[in-house]
Amino acid sequence: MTDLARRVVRAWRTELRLLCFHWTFPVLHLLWAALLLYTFRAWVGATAEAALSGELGNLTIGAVSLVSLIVGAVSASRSARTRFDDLEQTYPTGAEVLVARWLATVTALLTTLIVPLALALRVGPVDSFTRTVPRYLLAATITYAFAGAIGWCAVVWLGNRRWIYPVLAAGWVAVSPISRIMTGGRGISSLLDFTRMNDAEYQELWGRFLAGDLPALFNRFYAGLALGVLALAVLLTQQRRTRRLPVLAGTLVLAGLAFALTGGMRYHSLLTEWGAEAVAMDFSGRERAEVATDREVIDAWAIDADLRDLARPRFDARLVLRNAGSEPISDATLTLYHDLVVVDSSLPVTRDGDQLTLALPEPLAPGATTEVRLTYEGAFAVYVRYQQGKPQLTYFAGPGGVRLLPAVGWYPLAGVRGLGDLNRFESQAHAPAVFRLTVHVPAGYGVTSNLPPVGDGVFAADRATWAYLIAAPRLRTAQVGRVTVAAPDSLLPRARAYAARFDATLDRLTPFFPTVQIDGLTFALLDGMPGYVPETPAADQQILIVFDADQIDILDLSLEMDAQYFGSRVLNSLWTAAIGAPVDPDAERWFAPWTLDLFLWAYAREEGDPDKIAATIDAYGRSLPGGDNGSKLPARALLDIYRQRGNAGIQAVIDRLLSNPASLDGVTSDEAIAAWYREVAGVR
Amino acid sequence: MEIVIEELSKHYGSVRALDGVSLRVPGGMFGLLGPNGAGKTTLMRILVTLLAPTSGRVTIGGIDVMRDPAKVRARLGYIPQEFGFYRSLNAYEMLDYIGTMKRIPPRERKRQVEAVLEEVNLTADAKRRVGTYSGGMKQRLGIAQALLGDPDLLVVDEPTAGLDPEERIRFRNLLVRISGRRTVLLSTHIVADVEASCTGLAVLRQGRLAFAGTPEELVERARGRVWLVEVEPGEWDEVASRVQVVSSRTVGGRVQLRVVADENPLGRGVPVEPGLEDGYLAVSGSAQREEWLVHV
Repeated sequence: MTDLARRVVRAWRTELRLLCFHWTFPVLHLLWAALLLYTFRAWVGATAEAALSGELGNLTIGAVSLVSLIVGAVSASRSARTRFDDLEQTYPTGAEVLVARWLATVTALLTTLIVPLALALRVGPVDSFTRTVPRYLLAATITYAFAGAIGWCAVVWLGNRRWIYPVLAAGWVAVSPISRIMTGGRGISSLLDFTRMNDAEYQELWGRFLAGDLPALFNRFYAGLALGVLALAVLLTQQRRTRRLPVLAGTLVLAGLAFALTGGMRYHSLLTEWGAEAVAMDFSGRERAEVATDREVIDAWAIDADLRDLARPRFDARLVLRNAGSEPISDATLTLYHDLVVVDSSLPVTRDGDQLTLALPEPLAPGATTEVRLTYEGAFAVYVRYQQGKPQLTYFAGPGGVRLLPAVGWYPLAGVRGLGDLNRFESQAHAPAVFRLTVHVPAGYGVTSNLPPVGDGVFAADRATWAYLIAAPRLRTAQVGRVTVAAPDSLLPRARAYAARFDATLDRLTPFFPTVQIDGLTFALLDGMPGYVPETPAADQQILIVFDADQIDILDLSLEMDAQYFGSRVLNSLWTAAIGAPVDPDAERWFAPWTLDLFLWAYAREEGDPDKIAATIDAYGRSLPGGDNGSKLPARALLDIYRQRGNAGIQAVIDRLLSNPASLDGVTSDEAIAAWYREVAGVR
Repeated sequence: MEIVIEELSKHYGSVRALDGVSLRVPGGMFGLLGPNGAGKTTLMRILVTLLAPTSGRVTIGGIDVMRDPAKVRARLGYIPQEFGFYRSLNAYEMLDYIGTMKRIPPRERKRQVEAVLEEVNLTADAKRRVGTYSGGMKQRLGIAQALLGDPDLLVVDEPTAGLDPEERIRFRNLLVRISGRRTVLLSTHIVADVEASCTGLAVLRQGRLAFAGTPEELVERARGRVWLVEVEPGEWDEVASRVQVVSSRTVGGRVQLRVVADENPLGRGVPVEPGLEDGYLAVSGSAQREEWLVHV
């Protein structure tokens, strides 16, 4: 070991010992562990990666950055506080002591990550944990290094002043709101907030892919600042000690700042680029979008999606086009996203933005059909501006995978359609048609669609009204009974367990809807903004249920959520399929009284045992705010019907509701609904 | 190791802490005397590279302190007026840490740490936390850290302040013992410390050099100007306002004063042999006169 290395190691070791053997250190750890264990006693994220990349990770890095500021200042002022500084400065040392001691503060604070890491490990799975730990440690180290350097530099610059500590703490508290005020809550504020209290850049399925280079640039910005600030502290110290401008330290200050600045500028320009392209997304308006009346209708799609070269996804579409109008047509209009370039076609094609005009070889008579073949390719990304935050990537095809919904026009739609209307699903659905989708993906990629899977990478439905396609390296699928599970690899085991419950629920409830032909259910655990709406209709014989992968733990949390989810989501789809159209979510009341859904859910859950159904209904009523809010009476009426007439009694109620929903108009009170149930079922 | 100070000045705004001081310290144990505020500590801090002068030049062993402070630090041991250590480390750990900072190789460091602990009589307490040490023990630990690395120059600033008489004598003897092989620069306002140990000395007064030479030469400055005179208690104030009173004691209801004056005070003084304190007062003038009233 060289002489210099010996001094570095010794200064680092001594400072670390002075920090860690002080009584405040174990107390801090005890309080920290208690806080984390209490805060995250029930929920830290769906997986270790979600936990460390999300709330747990942000809190631990953010909160400890405050401690890091203070500890940096405490460490820097130690010699002055103990009056050792005059001695220390006469020793033949250089910047290595300052750097080593600063490094010791960072090292000491890294021990605060033990508890969050243990919590994350408990969540598992292990591969998710091991995949995330290096990134989490890097982010924490950079943040602590930066905050520690600020603390050091403040003391070196201003001297050992007591007011430095509250000023540093106040600065930490203020940095997040001030950065948001300064930038109006728009993108760049997330860069200025070193406390990392901004939204997580992580999604269970895509990892950090959707955030692009932002996380790396964020780290680069603060690594550069940490270097620059630390070098400034060294420069100030050296200048005092040598009475010269230390060239190396000065160079490092400039290098660090340049590194940070270029990273920050790239971060900003990325957000600006995305913002310029971003589509506004406003959930406030729920009015129906206008749908163009189509002359043309597509009766069948056969799409071969070749995603093996994701830099250039290629689609081969065969369509059966029908003239739905009353006059012959000599051309046909289709809608296809403008970044998808038509490279081959069975008919001459002209293009205007998203609109394709196909010149038909001869006029197509009303009701007649013709087959069209289109080959198109292209990589693209669609960003949305969501609640004034950073633009977010929603639909894309390119390196990293594809996430495609009808809203982006990834397959040709008949007529003129406004694409990008992301939150109005109704305008994107098309007339029921035969749809066959064949997907080729790179090795290791998973693929899923809302259409029933019929083979390896092949999905098909006879009456599909829409189709999505997702291919991602982390996506995995599995079959559980009639349920197709699509989930990130880390969540697949848990998703399979939920799928079993869906399967059982489906088995018990579908007999009550004899007109509905449901072959299966796709349970997709996807991320927060995949573009679906809760009222997403079934793709023909397949129910689609999409759940936010980041929120999977909610499924475990309460009886209430359990009721809302497993029962009502399946029932929603069954009602929708039985009615033949999506149920209006804004209607004054849901199609069926919720007590009917409650009874059916309890029936499915308790396998038809009337005593257990009664107990479940009571327990559910008690779990509601204020206790039983009326569930008991109508649900008990249904239970009476069930006890007396069995499934036939319940079936009678459902049949009446489907055949004559208006008979419930004006029936609003619990007593009236209970009486209606009894009357319809012929039970008193 | 020779120290050469040339026209050294240090200004704090309009205050001249040092004003054109030139001095040559040939080696051995050298005392720097002067009242509080005379500029001793400022001079010391410049010598040990803690402070940059406003003007002037200092060389230590031929090394320019301003231009090459790192080289000076490598040959320096320093005991400041006030200092402390990391309280939770024990003396051995503290010295071992300092030894590393002084670039002493590991094996040699262990030997030196044990040797200096022995030298300052702290071996038995080497494993005690420094935070539990008495003032005298801390002072000895200060010497120990200064001796690490076997420095050519030892700068000691007001070392005996706060020590009890026994500790003070032990400390003084220790300095004399270690000064054999090196230059020791001892700054103090206690004349007895210099008298007992230094072969050369300088007196600073209000930032200027008032005297430089040997203790004997300083004593000679007072020869024929030191008197013993008995006065009535009522006369005290009048005498004190005219001459410098070195010491006083009460004898049979009257006060016997030892004074420094060019002429026989009140015409009834008895000339006596001068001492170093008398010489010091003779060159430092009337500044801080009251400090030198020592009741015996």
